[in-house]
Amino acid sequence: MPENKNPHGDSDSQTTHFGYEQVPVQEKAKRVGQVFHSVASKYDVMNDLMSLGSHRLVKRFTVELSGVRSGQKVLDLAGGTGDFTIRFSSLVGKTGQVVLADINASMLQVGRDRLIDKGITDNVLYSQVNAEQLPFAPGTFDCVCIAYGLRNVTDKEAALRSMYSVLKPGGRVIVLEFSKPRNDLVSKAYDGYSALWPIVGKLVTGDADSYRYLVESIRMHPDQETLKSMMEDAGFTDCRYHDVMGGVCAIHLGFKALDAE
Amino acid sequence: MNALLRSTLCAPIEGIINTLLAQDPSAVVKLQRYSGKVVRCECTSPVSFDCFLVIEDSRIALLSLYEGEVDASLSASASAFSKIAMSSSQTEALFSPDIALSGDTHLIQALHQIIGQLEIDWEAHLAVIFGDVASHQLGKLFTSSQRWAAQSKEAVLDNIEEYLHEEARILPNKAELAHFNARLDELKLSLDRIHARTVRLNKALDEASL
Repeated sequence: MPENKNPHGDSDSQTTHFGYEQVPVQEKAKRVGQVFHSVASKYDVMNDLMSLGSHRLVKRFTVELSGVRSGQKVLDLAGGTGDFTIRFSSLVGKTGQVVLADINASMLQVGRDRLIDKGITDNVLYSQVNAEQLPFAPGTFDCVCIAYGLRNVTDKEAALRSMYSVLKPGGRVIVLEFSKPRNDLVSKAYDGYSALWPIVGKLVTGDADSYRYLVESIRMHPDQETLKSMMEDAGFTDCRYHDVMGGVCAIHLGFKALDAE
Repeated sequence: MNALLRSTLCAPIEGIINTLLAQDPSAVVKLQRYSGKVVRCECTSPVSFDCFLVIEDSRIALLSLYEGEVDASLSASASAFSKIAMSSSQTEALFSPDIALSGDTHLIQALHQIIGQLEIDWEAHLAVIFGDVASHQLGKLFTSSQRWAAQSKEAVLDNIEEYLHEEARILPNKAELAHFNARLDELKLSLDRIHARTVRLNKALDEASL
């Protein structure tokens, strides 16, 4: 099997990474799909356990950085169980719209059930999509948000280009993702802590492998500066990022220029 | 202040506001009239920071960042904000010299009124935990304790006033104070008259000596 030429994996190579493992490009989406199918029902519980609840505050801050306002259209990409859609839905109000999109049917099902149970039905649509080929008209959304999803995408560059395309001129993309801690001590502590996740995963969901993949995929994800330059290559302007918890996570922001086509 | 820290601080306050709002459906209906409006709150001391109250359909979002236009602004110190939160009187709370209002002040008044007039049926919430009978008894006990506390407070204040005015005679009562003030005014007028007459007399003496 040919080796991947790009450390981050791209569609030109014949293999890409799936955690630390090299897999054929066409197989990664399927393998990631299996991971999320396996964890969908316990996804929120595991998020709380692994982050000790801090993911809620990070998500809250991400929504604030998105600048979403009443009447806007938002794409919550890789939206899974709908945490962001719930917040965006109330911010855009009745005159706005949120599309909760995910490649994984199981995650989307959990998200849709959760939103319906909460009575959020007025301004939310659901769509099973591949982030690399978004099936929306160019210039549809004021904001595209992808949280903890980009590292699972096989061709990240294609996904960023696709997000750029569906944004309105002046719109913004916001990418929340695990990243590289700045401090060595924080990095070592975080490595030690995340080594426990497969064990917790085994206890809660009965599936250690999915959480082993999670830990490995975080290590393989581009660091802050690399992702920023990838966003710039995709066409976004005024790209910047906020480190969260010393770089354990990073929130990247990019804009589509007002004069962009 | 760090943006993430501000956002983190806003989270529990937002939670409390919305938990209280959810207990009073009439407040939610009133709030819906202002859906989409945004109020900027700026704390000037002891730490300087601002946050934004975004009125959504049936809740209020408290954001540390907001990039759109705001409808109204409220700037005050932390102690003035606590007075606003505790006071039910709008004139007293919002129109104090420590507070700066700008933009749609009617919106700020309306929000203050909605939050200040929250009517929470605690008995109904207790019933979920303790059952109808126990929660009714608890409610009765709370209401009678509240009434007794109010009556006791009134009685203690009356007794202290009576002691200071009538028994110890340390302070004058209202009627005596009013009488004293009236006499003081009369004295001031008399003094003014004497002063005017003295000036006139001096002037006459000066003219005669010339």
